[in-house]
Amino acid sequence: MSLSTQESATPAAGLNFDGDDNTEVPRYLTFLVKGQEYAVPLERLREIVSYTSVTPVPCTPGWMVGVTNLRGDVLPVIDLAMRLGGERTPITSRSCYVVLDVSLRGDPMSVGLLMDAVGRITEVATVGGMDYDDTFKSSFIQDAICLEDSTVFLLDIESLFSEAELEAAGLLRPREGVADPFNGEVPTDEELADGGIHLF
Amino acid sequence: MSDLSTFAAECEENMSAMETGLLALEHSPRDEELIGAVFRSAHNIKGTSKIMGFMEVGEIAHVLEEALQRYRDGRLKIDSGHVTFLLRGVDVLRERVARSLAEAGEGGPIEHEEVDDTQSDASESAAAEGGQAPAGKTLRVDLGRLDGVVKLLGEIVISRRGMESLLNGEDENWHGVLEAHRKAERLYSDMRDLVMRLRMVAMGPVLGGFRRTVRDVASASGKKAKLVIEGGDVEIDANLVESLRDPLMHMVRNSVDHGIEAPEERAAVGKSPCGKVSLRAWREGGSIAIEVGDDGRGLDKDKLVARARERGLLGEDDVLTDDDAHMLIFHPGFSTAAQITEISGRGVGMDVVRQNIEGMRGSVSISTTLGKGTAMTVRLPMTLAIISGFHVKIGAETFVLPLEQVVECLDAGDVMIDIGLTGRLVNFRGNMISCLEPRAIFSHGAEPSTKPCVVVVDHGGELIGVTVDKLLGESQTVVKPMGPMFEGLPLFSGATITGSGDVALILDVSNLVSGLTEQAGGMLV
Repeated sequence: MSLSTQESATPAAGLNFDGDDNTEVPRYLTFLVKGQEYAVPLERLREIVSYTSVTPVPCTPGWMVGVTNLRGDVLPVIDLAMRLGGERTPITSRSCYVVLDVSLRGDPMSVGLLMDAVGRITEVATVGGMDYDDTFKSSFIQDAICLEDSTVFLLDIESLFSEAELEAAGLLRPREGVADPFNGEVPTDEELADGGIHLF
Repeated sequence: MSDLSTFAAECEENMSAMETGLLALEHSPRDEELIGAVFRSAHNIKGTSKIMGFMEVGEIAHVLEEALQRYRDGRLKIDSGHVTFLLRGVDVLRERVARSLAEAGEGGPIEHEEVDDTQSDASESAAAEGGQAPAGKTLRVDLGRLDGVVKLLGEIVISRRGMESLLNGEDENWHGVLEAHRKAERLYSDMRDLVMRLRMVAMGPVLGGFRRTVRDVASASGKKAKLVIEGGDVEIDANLVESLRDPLMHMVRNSVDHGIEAPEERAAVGKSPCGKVSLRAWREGGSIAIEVGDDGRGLDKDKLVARARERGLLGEDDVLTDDDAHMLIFHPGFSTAAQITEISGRGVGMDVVRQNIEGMRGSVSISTTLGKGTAMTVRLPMTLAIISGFHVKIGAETFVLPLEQVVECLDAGDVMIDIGLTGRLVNFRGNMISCLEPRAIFSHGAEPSTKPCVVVVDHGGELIGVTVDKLLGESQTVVKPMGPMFEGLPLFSGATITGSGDVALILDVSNLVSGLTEQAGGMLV
């Protein structure tokens, strides 16, 4: 296993930070899901709130736990464990929501991830280069990093909330009108003016 | 800055008045009062623009005023050609007003690209200073309504004092406190109604604006058409008005362009040479409906289907119902690029019209008769910030039904009749109405109630029962958007926070009924 991570604030030797001393080493929030540690970039984190009751939303996939009241706003809550193919997360006294900033079709929004527990905030200078068991490979895992003696999976938030994923889950209506109905061929005027038909 | 926006609003008002007046003059050219009104509008613009230092605007208004003076004197008789000419003058005036406002750093209604064309340097520096920020939205409010709010506010202050003295009192007069609280509750509820009504504007001015559209499109395509407006006094949320303008504009253009036939063609089939386009607005339960109708040629199902096949949207063997065939016109593949630009100039096709309407959680439907005409009806929920909600329990969860659609509540035990697999019927005042079971899709494992109730709802004039487990009663409900994550879920029009701090979902009754009906195989309704 090749270690390419470190925990101090000093940039790793050999990395190019454009000579800027203030350049921050990317920081990550980690949390435990079913005993496995996952990480998201700290800049995507809005806040962490303790568990409040969730209202289920009918006709949604199982991993969509429902919606909860976050200071008067409606916050969708997702069971990350289920989303990653596991079982429903039981609610305990340590359960919490990690509220992330995501963007959906260009609209900024917040999403809560239901967690067993929050881990730590850590600085990781480099990611990647780690080999990990294929069984963990999923489109939602961007990479693996090694912290101390454990392997941490870096979540790919973009694909977790990608349009295609949410459309497939029936949460979003597919956008129409993208396909070119003429396959690139522009109809001629004669074709357009074919007697009295309603053209819109 | 506020001077400029006042100026902009005044100009727009006067220019609209000129347009309306000119269009009316076309039909009654001898109406001296109308000529006078149009003249005064031009005069007003001239006056205010000179005060504001917009000399170019003033000049154009002056030229228009001069021209109108000749009709006023009776030296010239107004006719259709003159009206076209004068309307064009108003267009020039409008452009100049927009440009002047942009130059003054206000932003104004001018398009940004145009700003860049004319005075890129100035606008960039203005933008850098934040001068280009769009002016805040304003709304004109009837002073009487505002006075009502102020008066009510006074009463609320008094009732709060009364409550305070009761709470401070020696004796624990809880009955009195409750009484005072209830009285205050009524005042708050009145206040809510009044404030919400401040946001409502009549549809009339928006619909009236389309007279010009009808005239322009008709004359451009060599047709004759007049616009008839009904329900101009129907009120709608000010926010919705703006979003409705573009879709309606396109539908109106479409009616004239494709619905209304050429005068000779009309005469040949025994219709009046002048086509009629109608805009009707009315309230329908918790929704507002706007119909764009014409007495033109109607939609030809066979031709629509043929075209769809040609475009590869339909297989050769697909069989469509009439309604499905008519809805083809809203299919993105059905529009043709060349037509889109020619008709609208904005790159808007009927598919975008539907998308816009559905974006407002509305729907659009078509009814048409070949040779007689077409009517497209837009239905929009009056999604306001606060609604009167009827709270019910289905399974373990609380749901909210818009009170406007709730007709009555019944005890299911007395009235329910099982009709086997296909569902249930309910005896509602001697009439059998079908009853839907939302539990089927909302079930979260909770035991069904031993005493279910039926809420009778109004679904576009049709009464339908909805079985729920418990009635929780009515209360004021603040509508919160569900956010983009649930955009594809038609069953809910929003959510609300209940008194206990939980989220309750607000049911979209029309979509719930159609969804459940579909699920029951269309056998219920």
